[in-house]
Amino acid sequence: MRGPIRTWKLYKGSKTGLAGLGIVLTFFVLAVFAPIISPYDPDFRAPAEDVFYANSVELTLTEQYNWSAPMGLTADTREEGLIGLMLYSQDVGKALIFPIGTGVQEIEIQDPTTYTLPEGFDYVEYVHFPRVVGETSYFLVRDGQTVYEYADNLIDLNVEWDLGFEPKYTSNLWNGYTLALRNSRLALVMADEHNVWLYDKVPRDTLGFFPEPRTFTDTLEITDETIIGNPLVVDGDFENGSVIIIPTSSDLRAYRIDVEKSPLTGVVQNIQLGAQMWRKNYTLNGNEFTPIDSKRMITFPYARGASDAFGKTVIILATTDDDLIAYQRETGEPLWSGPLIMPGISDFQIADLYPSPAGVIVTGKAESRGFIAGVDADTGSVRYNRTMFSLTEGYINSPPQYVSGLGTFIYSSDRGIIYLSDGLLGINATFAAPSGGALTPVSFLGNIYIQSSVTGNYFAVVTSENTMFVSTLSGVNKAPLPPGKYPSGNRYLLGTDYEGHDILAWLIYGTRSELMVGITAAFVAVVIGTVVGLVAGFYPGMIDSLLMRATDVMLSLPGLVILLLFAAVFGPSLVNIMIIIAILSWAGIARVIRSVTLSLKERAFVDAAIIAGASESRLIFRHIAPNVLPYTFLYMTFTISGAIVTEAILAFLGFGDVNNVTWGMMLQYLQISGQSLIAWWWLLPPGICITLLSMSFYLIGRAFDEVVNPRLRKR
Amino acid sequence: MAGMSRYIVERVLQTFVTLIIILTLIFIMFESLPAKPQDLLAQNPLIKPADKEFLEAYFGFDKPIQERYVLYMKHMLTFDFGTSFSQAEPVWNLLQDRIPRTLLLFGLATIISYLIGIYVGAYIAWKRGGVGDGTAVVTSLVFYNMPSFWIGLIFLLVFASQLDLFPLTGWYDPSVDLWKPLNILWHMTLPLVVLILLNLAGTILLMRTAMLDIIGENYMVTAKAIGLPERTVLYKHGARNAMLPVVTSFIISIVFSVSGAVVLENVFTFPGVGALYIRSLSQLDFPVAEATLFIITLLVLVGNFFADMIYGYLDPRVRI
Repeated sequence: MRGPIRTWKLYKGSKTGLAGLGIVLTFFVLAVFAPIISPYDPDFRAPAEDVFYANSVELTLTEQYNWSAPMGLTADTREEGLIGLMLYSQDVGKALIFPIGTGVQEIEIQDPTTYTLPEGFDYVEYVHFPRVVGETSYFLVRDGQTVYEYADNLIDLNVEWDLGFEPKYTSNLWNGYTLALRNSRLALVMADEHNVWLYDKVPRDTLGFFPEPRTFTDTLEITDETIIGNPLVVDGDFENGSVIIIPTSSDLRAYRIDVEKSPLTGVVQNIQLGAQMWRKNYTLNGNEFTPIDSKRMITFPYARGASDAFGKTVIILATTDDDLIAYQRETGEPLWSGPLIMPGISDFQIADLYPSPAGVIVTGKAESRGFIAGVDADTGSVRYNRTMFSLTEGYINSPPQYVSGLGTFIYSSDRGIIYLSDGLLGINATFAAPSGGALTPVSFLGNIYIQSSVTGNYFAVVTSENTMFVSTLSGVNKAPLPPGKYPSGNRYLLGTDYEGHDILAWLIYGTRSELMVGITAAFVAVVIGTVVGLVAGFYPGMIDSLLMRATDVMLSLPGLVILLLFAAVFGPSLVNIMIIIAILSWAGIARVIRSVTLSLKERAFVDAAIIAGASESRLIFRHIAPNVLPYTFLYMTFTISGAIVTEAILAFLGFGDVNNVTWGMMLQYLQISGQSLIAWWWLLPPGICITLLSMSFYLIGRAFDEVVNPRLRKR
Repeated sequence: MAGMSRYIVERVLQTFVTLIIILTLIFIMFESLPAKPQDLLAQNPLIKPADKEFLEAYFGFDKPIQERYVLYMKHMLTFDFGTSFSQAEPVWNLLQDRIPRTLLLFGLATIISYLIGIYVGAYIAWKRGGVGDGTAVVTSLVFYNMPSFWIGLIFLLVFASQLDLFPLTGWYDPSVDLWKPLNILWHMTLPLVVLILLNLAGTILLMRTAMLDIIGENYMVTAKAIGLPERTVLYKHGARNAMLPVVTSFIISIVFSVSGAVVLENVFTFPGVGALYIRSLSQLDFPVAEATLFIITLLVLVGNFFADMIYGYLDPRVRI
């Protein structure tokens, strides 16, 4: 063997060999200095503002009126999505309905149709029943003393009622028409100072006596006191005492809703306002109190879970002393009472109470700001003593709406700002609607169906520049991001993958595992191969033919196919992958080393050593092995080259190590993300790197081959 | 040719012994898989204990290991592969359509790449040092070291998705109005071309090296000197002799090619044996995995055997 300087001189003659060496050294530098060179950590993920994109649309409204908050219209034909958006204006008695199409990428809101409503109307409610019950949708509109029920086209008038008084208060609309709860109904109460009107709609009965839904109405007069706030409908099923709670100037009183049913068939015959169940004066422990001056002075918490949907056992009332008092629904007995405590905030005033799945939501004013707090309906404390309250700029002007899919609340303030809160009412996001901010309260619409599989939660507002802004709450995943600069200011030179990982960072960090897998696997393989080859070459006869038989079997194994089986047996870890690549690659090396050993044995220097009395081990390790080493190194480079590609194939076929960043895993993630035909910036770099690194080792091998085999050099 | 028949018998015996060893290895591997197919039975709440016992007996899980080994060997060597776990269908039903498809893909790719590779390799060695030589060597080197699935994905992206020239998946589409063989060829084009490119790279490099060894030989110089046409010298005297090591390397290249076919079948969702193998492995469908692995091994061994035969025919020395 020549000295290293002469070897290098010979090696230098090969241009491709030098190129290979250069590339390999570059990758080594990348691997060693990865934390310095890489723009991001391998754990880095592109921030939400880059990766998420809120699908939104802004429509200019041609006429400027005092528009209502937008309403989402659901319909039978599209189970999950909305079919339209509605705006109305009391000023001119107009309603606009914007049909929603099924957009491919973006939401598609079509040109509106204008409808004329009774001029001066001041209440519109859209009611929707699930298709299976055979009911449809309709609108309830009130104008002065008259309540109209329109069909869902807003043109056909189904019924109208003359109440004989002009309602000032309207209760919650209790819509129990769900698929799970067919034995339920819809109830609404309207009232002025002394009159109460009950509107109750029953679905068609399954027996077929009444194939259409029926409406029952009833009235009640309260002469002794004045009604001072919105009544509350706390509906139960037909057996289980449904009540309406009415706040008057001196007490809270509950009336039963009587349901008369046929004893034989169970079909509802009549519904009317029944007897007073209880009344409670505004005193507690002998002290008098005053309810807050708000229409929304009482509320109830939504039950948690569908099973006890009727089990609303608590009614909560707020007082001017910032106390909350909980009453038992059936008896009116006080359950608990106490002041609303928000740590750090002393000067505040409760404005409204809202029902919510998180208990009860209290909004109000805290000095110059607004506040929103969640109260545990069982104990009255601000829940969990955690951040179940937040301060807001301006006062909250929309019912906090719960987005069940996301577990968040959305509401707006009277300064036109929209808030997103988590389930504990800590504010997640605050943003102004475009075009001068929201003019109307924000409304949560529900799902809008878009063909590109994005069925998002959408909200809408009318802005102060007379546009309607409709947007997703959650946003649409934009990743994998193509290369470029993004809103966060981050620049992803090679883009990102589906989860927002920087491709360049993964490429650089991946170099480490590639080199480790390639070199370790090849090292183990050449050690086994060299030992087997040396032994086989040195001991002819039984040992030789046994070892060579084994080598033949190994060589005729369908390598990769067996490798997959090995990977399945040993489990996909990087160490296992290295070992099995080594096990399947030693055979070729053993063969070469054996023939080199055989030829070396015939050389004169070996004979000389034998004559000089060298022991067998001295012969092998001192005389033959050093001359075999160049071949060992040569085949090591070829094996590294193969191991790198093999690791990638294993990873790609799903037998890779998920705990390590490798180029093969990057391509596997690409394949399973379903983006392989789109995200070229994700497809190309790992493959190019695998090819480059594998080829470089191969080129080094070829160049070194010429050094080791002088015969090749002549060419 | 007495030597030839002895040589054939020897090779047949050797191939058979190798097959037995590989089959045994496969058996050991499957026995040592950490996840057992019985576990799948145990997890399924719909399977009653009685059914479970029946199934275990049916698939032979209740027998001791040595008995299972004998049964397994008997089944494999008689091509009686039993019933698939996951599809309740005889394994043969799954295999019978797939074997010809894989054979067609793999066979066509091997033959075409060898024909082109030998021709191109000999030619560039003859014109060594030229631009054509450099380009061919560098291109071959690049393709030789490329991960097969990655070229497959790029071909899918460019030719199937962007240019829309070829179908994305499958083997045959009855809804396309095309003569069936053409329809199949149309579906096979992309995997076939990728597999040819991969195999070609190795063959060209090998043939070039072998040819370079030959060019300096005295008989080549003589052939040139006596004024034989260049084509005759190149192909009749040169390439024919240079082919010997290329044929030897067929053993290694057939393994390479089969591996490529398995991977590419997965990339192109080509319903062949390789795709079935990966699927059955991840579903722990032992009878199917064992059978497919056996078929693939057989394919490689038979390929090797023929390579040996051709080699023995070309080079009389090995027959002695």
